[in-house]
Amino acid sequence: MTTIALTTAAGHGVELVTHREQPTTGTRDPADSGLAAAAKDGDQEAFGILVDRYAGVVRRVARSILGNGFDADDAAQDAFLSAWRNLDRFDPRRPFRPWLMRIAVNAATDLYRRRKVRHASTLPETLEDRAAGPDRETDRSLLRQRLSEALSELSERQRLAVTMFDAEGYSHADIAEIMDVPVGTVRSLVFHARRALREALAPYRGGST
Amino acid sequence: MKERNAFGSERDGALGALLHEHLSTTDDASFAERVMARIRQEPRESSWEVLAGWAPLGMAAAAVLALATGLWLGSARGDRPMVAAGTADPVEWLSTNDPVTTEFVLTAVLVGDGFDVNGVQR
Repeated sequence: MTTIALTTAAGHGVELVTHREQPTTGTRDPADSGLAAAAKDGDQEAFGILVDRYAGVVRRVARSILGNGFDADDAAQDAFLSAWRNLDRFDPRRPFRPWLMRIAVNAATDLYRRRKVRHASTLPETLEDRAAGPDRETDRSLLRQRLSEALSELSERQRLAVTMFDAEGYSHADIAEIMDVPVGTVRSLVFHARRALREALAPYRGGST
Repeated sequence: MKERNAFGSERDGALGALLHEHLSTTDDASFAERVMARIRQEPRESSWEVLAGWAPLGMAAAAVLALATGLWLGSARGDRPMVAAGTADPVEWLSTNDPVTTEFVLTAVLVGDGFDVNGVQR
């Protein structure tokens, strides 16, 4: 659990409490491997556990690319279906999560390219729906609104890279493998995304505790 | 969200938590249920079932191959006289232009070791 304390320019404190699971890209996860092997033999229940386990991260990654919540869920669903159909190609000696993430990134990127006419400014539309209440809640809403706008100004690759690195905890090397680009490219994408986001959120000062 | 070595491997915890919270949704369970509803419409065959599906075809192919091999061997033998063609001299056999057969070589070795062409020790 991470508690983020931010202070708005108006002096109001904003606290964000998040729960984050750590990725297991660097190590083998026997549970995943066993479930994937069972799913490969047609065990839908085993695959269902994997869907439950990775629904959150796959949806977040899809949202980071597509912005629009409905499109992101379409891509995330396509990713799981594609994984199910292509389990024969999964090598059980390798970790399942990066394999799934690569499928998810490809599904979201494909959909993004097909629907590029829709501008990414539709990033989490739910933010605008959140009711403004007391000052603190208003500040949270403003912060999210600003973040949403800032994200929409990044390229989809920058959004993906910074999300996977800072929000999901993947290493540069893992992201490079998932995105199928050199590690240096990932570092550059993260650098430019961070710089833009930090500038956009400059009115909000704070740190993590 | 402090500026650190931007190209380094250190994570920005504040920015990461903000992004994580921003991109997360609360209905992952219902999403997973929708995905599984689709997957239940596409049952997978297990590896054994796939192999079993190919087994009759594979066995038929093996039978055809075995039959063809047998016919070919049979016809090859019919074209050529057997090794016990009347001479017991391996040197003479080796000097002929006929293609070498397994039986020819075996008989030559046996004769050379003191057996006659019928495999009986002299």
